Amino acid sequence: MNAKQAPARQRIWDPFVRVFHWSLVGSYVLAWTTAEEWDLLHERLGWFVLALLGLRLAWGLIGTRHARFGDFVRGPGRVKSYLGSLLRGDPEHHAGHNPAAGWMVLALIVTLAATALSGVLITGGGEAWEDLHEGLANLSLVLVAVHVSGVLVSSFLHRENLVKTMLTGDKPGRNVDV
Amino acid sequence: MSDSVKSRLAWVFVGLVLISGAVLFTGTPQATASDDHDKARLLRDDGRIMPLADILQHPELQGKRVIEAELEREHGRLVYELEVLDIDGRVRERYFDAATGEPLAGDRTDDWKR
Repeated sequence: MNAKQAPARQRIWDPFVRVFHWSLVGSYVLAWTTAEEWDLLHERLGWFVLALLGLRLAWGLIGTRHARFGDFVRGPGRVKSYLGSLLRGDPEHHAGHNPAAGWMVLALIVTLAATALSGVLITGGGEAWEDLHEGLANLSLVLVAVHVSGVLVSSFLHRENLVKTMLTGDKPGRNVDV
Repeated sequence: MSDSVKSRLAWVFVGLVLISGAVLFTGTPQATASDDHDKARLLRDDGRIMPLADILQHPELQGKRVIEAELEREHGRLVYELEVLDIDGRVRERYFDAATGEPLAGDRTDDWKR
């Protein structure tokens, strides 16, 4: 066998990253549907989201290759060159998060943590926290929309199903990765 | 850390997700009873709901005994749900808009509680 031949499948996302991602998606959808309707479940979802994000932060430091922040948090130069290649319709291929996606992951983690924390603080602080909580929840919805759009555009341009990759953890092998 | 250790550690983290979910979603709801009480107090202090004492002064409730009072959120609106022992000895549920103190339609008789 040729040593340079790509493996049939390439492992990208470990089991924790996938369980984390879809647990967060489920909690997020449920949190929106229970808001102002079912406080007890809504609050428990908030605490669960905080637990998920805490574990993800730890895993970002010690986790598998593509799960680590060091793998996908890139400087502005790399983000610019990636976005340039995207605008030309021929984006660089990255096995894990691309440089723009890396910042989206951070933005989502920070915004969702702030949303959950401000929600937890409503109990003790009243209306100001409630307004902040609602504002952050709306901001997170915008980020989620951009995130999902990015996944769809990237899947289309690279002809790879990134949703499936987040489910199975694998991508078809490639010879060259940036 | 070697790759095999990390992939095993990934499953440990999956376990931590399951444990935190189990703890958070099956915990006793008693702990939140006082929270609800605190919330009602905060809402009252903010002037967003009327105190229960004012609701109890409503003419519709005079001469009747209020057995139980709950503050509920119904379709985004805060509502006092009162169980009232009527003059005829029946237990009825009465609803009052918590913000305005106005009685709401939808009271019903619970005959089995007689």
